[in-house]
Amino acid sequence: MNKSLVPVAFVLMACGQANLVDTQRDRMAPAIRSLLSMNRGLDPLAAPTLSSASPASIAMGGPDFVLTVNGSGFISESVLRWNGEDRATQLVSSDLLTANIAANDIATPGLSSLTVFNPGEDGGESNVVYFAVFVSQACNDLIYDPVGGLIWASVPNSGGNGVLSIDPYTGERSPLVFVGGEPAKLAISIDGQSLFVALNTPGAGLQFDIPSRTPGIQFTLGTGYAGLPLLVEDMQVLPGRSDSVAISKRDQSIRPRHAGVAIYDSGVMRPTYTTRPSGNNVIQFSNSSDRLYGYNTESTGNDFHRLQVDDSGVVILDSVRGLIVYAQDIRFDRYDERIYSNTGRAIDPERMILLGTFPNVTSGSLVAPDSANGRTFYLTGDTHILRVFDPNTFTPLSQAQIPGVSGSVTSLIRWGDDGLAFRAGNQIFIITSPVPPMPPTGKRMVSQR
Amino acid sequence: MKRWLVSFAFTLVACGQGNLVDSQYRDIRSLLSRTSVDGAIDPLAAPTLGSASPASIAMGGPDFVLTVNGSGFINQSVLRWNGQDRDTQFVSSGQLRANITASDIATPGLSSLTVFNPGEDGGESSAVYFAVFISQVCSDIIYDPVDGLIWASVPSIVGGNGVISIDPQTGERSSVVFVGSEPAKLAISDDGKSLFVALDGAAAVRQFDIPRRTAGIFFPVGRDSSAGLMFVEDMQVLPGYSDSVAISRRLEPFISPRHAGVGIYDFGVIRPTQTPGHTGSNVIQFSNSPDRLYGYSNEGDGGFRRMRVDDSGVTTLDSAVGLLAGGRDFRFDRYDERLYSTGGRVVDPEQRILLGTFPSVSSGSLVAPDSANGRTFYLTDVDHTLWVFDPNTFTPLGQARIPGISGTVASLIRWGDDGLAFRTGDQIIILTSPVPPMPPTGRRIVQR
Repeated sequence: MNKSLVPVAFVLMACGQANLVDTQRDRMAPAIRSLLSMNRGLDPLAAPTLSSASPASIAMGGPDFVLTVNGSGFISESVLRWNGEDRATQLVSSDLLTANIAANDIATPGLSSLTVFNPGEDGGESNVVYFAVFVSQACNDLIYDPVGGLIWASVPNSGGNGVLSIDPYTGERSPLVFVGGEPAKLAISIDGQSLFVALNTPGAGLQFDIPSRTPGIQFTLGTGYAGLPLLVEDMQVLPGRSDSVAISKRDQSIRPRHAGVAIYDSGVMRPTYTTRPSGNNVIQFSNSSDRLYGYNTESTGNDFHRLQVDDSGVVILDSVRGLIVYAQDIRFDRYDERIYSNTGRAIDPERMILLGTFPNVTSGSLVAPDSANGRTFYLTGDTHILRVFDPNTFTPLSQAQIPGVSGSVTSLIRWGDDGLAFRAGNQIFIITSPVPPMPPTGKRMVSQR
Repeated sequence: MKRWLVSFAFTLVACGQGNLVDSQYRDIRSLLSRTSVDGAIDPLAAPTLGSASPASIAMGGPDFVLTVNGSGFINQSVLRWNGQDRDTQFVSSGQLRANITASDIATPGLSSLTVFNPGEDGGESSAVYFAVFISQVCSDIIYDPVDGLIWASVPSIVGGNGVISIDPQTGERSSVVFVGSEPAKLAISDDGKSLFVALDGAAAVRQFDIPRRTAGIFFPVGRDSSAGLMFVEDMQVLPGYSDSVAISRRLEPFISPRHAGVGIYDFGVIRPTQTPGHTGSNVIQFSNSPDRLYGYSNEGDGGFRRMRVDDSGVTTLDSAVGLLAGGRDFRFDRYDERLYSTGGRVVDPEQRILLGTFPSVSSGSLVAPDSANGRTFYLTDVDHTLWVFDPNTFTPLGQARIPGISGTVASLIRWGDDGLAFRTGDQIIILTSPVPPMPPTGRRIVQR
């Protein structure tokens, strides 16, 4: 039966195609394809394959635009689906479609899924390619304020030397508030009262009052070997405090650049501080304002430190080498009280033991742990693949390639229960996790959040 | 008779080809295939079988078509799977296709393929082996003779970070039990109670309770004050103990030499005396006594070391350089109490003398001695040939090339009386020896 029909289809195609009007050809196409698929000698029709989109991402808030997608197996009835919803689609060729994307589709930031659907029993839906709608905004750092539910961004001189807040759901930005020269690293108090802003020109820290949205105390960090002001390399607000901040300082004029860690209360430095060779380039507070962790990113020593903070300042308690290796950053998870390195290691910082390693996490990745929701996120620095892991088993749960990211990615942060954000160049990407959160089982309590 | 048929066939081809139906034409081609190029008539011989495609397949799949290549195939050629005929289609004198059923590949093993040409002038080809493997990413395998199961460590990338057991007879796998980050090297206690699992993602070891199938004690291997964390390079449970393990430790990454000494751990607590690092026993094997441990330096001086184990820990007694040269690893045989190196050498570890060398064992091979059954097995890493030797005479008894192996082979182990298993990155190959075991003559008693 099938074999007898196939020649009919061939005859129709070979002899009559030129005389068919478009509507006839369109009506016959599914039948012919269906017949062709029955013949073992021909390629069976299958779901189309989607490989890329152009543009690969777009700034939110723009007008309607035409999206071009590349792949294979496209037919005249192929439909592009945007987050599962059909969009008006035009066939250009079997490997190219265009689709009309409405302004409404890109009115808010996020990660949309693109698929191509071929109707009919021999059709199907393609694989997913993601499309990012980003916030077009130059910035140097991002941080999330869980009290206000807003993301704060430090905006460089080119954009106004200030800070602004962003609603992660709508992408709506507040007016810029001027804070000083080249705002960079940000730190926030747990109560959402204070945003500390590193000012790289000339070199200072600034305390910004979040509720009133006004800049407050500005304080300098000292001078380096060449007489240049020291800059903030990393910064963490003391848990439970609004006016006290730990700062890892860097020297602009010498290598290694690390210039010690100090505690500042309302801009006044406590007398005891760690010295240059200590190597605490990046710092993270535990759930206690007494315990700070530091890691040396500059040398091959790979030293991880526990630091004791008290009223007199900060001292190094002990050091362990090789617990974390070749990392550029560390993150403390307030729920499971572990430290996660950007190179994929999870350690118990108090017992100073390695607990596990996440696979396929490359150097240069960014990390955002969220054990309270059963997830650890890594974003690869070169390929922009977001990997989601189970922090209890160190096994991968999912991954998604974020397209259309230009430049180096930094500042991967969590927001809400399943939100993530990061920046690259003049782009801020605000997305939700491709894997839903896994609520905690009551194993631990978040002591401060 | 034969000459008459061929002449008739020539006549048919010369005069009547245009009128032949397909079946007639195939019969004539078959006849022609029995003649040599110059037209002289060769005596009919058994066909030759060269290869199969696929060369191996994962167990548990559906029916499939196997293509075999060789020469001398005829229209009546039949492919035999372990000696049993399978539906066969003639493609050409150099190719056949045969229908292999799902039941043929329902369990793991090594099947023999032959092609049989019927008739008094036919015969059966030599065998080509076909592996039905278990598709399973794993980092190590070990056999538990108490339960008769193979245990495998499963890394994170396949959602594992756990261990599974495999019935070597059926290939049936248990569900994964989580043990920790990146399970790798395995060691098992004699009594089948404890499985020790190296966790390469945590620089630690997990003691796994086999009867209860639960993860037990987790302990870090150790830390060097200047070089960082220590990881398991090799691991052996003390004979007669369930909770004590000897660990050869390594430093990483990018540290050379990587060796960080050997230590004894009881319930995760290291005994105070350890052997020094730098140059030492990268790979270790216990004797039949928990007091005697053997080691081999495969990155340093190539020395074979005898070590004494006592309550205070482990110390190196002496070292013999060059005794085990040429291998990366070695195995202690509990029956003849000899050491077998992967380079093909056999030594008496207490007299520290070389007893013999197996021929054709290339560097990089894997070894599985079984003197209790009169066999020593080597698996070459390049062409995946399994060699079977007589350990008493050091002479080869048989060999079989195992096709369809992708990646580097590792973890050659014995199971049962004639079983073998090994792994690659994502395959576990379970087979029985192509040479039957030779039961012991009562010369020695296994002391376990």
